[in-house]
Amino acid sequence: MLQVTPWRLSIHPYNSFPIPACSFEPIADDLGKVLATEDLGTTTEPLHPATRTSSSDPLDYFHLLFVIAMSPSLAIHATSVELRYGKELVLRNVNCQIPSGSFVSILGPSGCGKTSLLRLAAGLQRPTNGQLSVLSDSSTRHPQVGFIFQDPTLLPWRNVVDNIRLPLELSGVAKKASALDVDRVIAMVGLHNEDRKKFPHMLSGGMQMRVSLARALVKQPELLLFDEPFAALDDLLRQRLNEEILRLWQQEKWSAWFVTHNVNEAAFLSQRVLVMTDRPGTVHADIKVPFPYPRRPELRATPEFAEFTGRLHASLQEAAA
Amino acid sequence: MKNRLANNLSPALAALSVAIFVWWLLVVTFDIKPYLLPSPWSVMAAGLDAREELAMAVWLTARAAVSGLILSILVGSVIAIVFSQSRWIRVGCFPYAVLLQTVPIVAIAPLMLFWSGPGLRSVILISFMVSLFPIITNVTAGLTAIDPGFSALFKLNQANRLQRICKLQIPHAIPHLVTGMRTSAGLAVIGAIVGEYFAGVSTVKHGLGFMVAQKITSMQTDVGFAAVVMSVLLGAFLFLAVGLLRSTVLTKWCDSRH
Repeated sequence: MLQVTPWRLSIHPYNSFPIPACSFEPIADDLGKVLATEDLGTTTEPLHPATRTSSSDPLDYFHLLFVIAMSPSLAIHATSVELRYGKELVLRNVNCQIPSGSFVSILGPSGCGKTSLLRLAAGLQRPTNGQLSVLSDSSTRHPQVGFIFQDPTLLPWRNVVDNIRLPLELSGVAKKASALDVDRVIAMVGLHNEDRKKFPHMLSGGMQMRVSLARALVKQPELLLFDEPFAALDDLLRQRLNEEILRLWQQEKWSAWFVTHNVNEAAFLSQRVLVMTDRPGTVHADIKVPFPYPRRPELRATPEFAEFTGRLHASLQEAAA
Repeated sequence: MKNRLANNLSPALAALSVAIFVWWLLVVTFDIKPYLLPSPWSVMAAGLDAREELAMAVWLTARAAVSGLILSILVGSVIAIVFSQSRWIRVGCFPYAVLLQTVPIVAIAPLMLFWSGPGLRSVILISFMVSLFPIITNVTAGLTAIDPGFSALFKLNQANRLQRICKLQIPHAIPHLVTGMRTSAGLAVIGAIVGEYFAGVSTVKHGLGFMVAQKITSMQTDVGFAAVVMSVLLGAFLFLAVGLLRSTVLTKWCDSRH
C-alpha cells in the first residue's frame, strides 16, 4: 500500500479479484477542506465529462486532477458529497470509492437519497458541495455510463429495436452501422427475434426491463447505474433477472452501482454493500459480501446467506435508527 | 369489433329515434306552422328535393372547414413548438393565445371580411381562427409534459435540443395533437359556417352557412333545417374521422398511459 502526502491517498490493488474493501475517510476529510462550496443546484446541460464538483477555483481543479492521476482505477469517487433540494438536506458527507469493474449495491430506507446519489453519478445533477468523479481514468471525453431506471422508460412509439438503438442514434451512429450492436445486446439479454418489432405496451414487465437493460448496454458502457430496476416485478422474476445481471456483469466486466431496498438482492449481486442512513443520507457502513463468484441461485437457500442478510438487516436498522 | 360498433351505435341511434319522435310529436300536438318548425318528414323531403344544392353546399363548407383545420394544425403546432422551448415565451405569450378562445368570432368575422374580402379565403381564415386554440393548448401540453425519466434518458445520452424536439417532444405530442384535432374538427365546421354567414354572400356557389341564413329568411324553413342537419352531420363526420385516425394510425402510441 502506498501512502501519498499531503492527501494520504490509500492505493489498493483494486484490479485484483475479488476486490478488497477500501478505506476512504482520510481522503474525504482532506478534500472536504480543499474544495470550495458553491451551490450549483440542478442543471439542464449534460454534466460529463467525468468530474462533477461544486468548486469554481482553478486551483481546486488542479488538485482534483492530481488526486485523479494518483488514484487507482476508480469507477466512482465521491468525496464529502452533499446535496440539497432548496433548504432540505438530502445527502450529507457521502464518501466512497467504487473500483472499476466492481459490483457495489447501495442499500437504504426509502427516501434516504439513494436515487439522488445515483443521479449525481449519472451527471443528471451536481452536488451542492463536495466532489464526485465518474470513470476518471476513461480515455473518452464522454465516458459511457448506462442508467437503468426504476421504470423501463421505453418510448411507446418506438418498437423494441428502435428503443434499443436510441443511444446510438443520439450519438449520430447510422442505422446500418448500429445493427450489429443492437443484435448483440438483444441476444445478450435474452430477447427473442419475434419481439424485435413489438411495441412496449405489447411486452410484459420483465421483457420491458430486458429491453431497458439492452438499451443501456448497447453503447458498451464502462459503468452501469441501476436505480431499483426490479422493484415493481414479482419475486421470482426479480431473482431470475438478478441472475442474468450477474451473468452479464461477469461476461462484460462493466462497473455496477446498484440501488435497492431489497436486502437479498443486494447480498446476492454485490461484492460490497453500502448501507445508507435515513435522510439526510450518508454512508453508514461499507460491508464486504463474503460469497465468491459465480453465485448460483441455490446460494439464497444457504444458512450463510441467511446469516449475512441478517447482518445487512441489522446494519440497515442501525442506520435507520 | 363489429359487436363493439353495434353496441356503441345502438344507444346513439335509439336516442336519435326518440328525439325525432318527440320533434314530430311536438309539431303534431301543437299544430306548429311549417315555416316555424317543419316536421322531420318534410325536412327530409325538402332535403331530397334540394339535394344538388345541399351537396354543393356541404362540399364547399367541408372544403373550408378542412382547410381551416389543416391550417390550424400546422400553425398551432409551430406555435406550440415555440412555446415549448422556453417557459418565458410560454408564460409571456399564452395569455394572448387565450384571446383566440375568448374573442367572440361573430364580432371579429366582419373584420376578417374587411381584411381579406368575401369568399373562400375569409371563410377559411375564420374557421382557422376558431379551431386554432385547442391545437395550441393540447400540443403545448404534449411537448412539455414529458416524463422525467424520458428527459433523463435523453440528457444521459447527451441529446441536443433538435434531437430532443424531433425524437422525444414531437412524437410525445402526437396523441395530444389528435385530441386537440377532435375538438378543433367540430369548431372548424362551426367557424366555416359562421364565416359563410358573413363572407359567403357574394359567392355564386354558397356553403351551408349562407344557405341556412338564406333559406330561413325566405321562409323555406324545411330546406334551412335540412342544411342545419347537414352541418351537424359534417361536424360529426370530421370528429369521427379524427377518431378513426387515432385508433388506426396511432395504435403504437396507445399504451396504457394515453
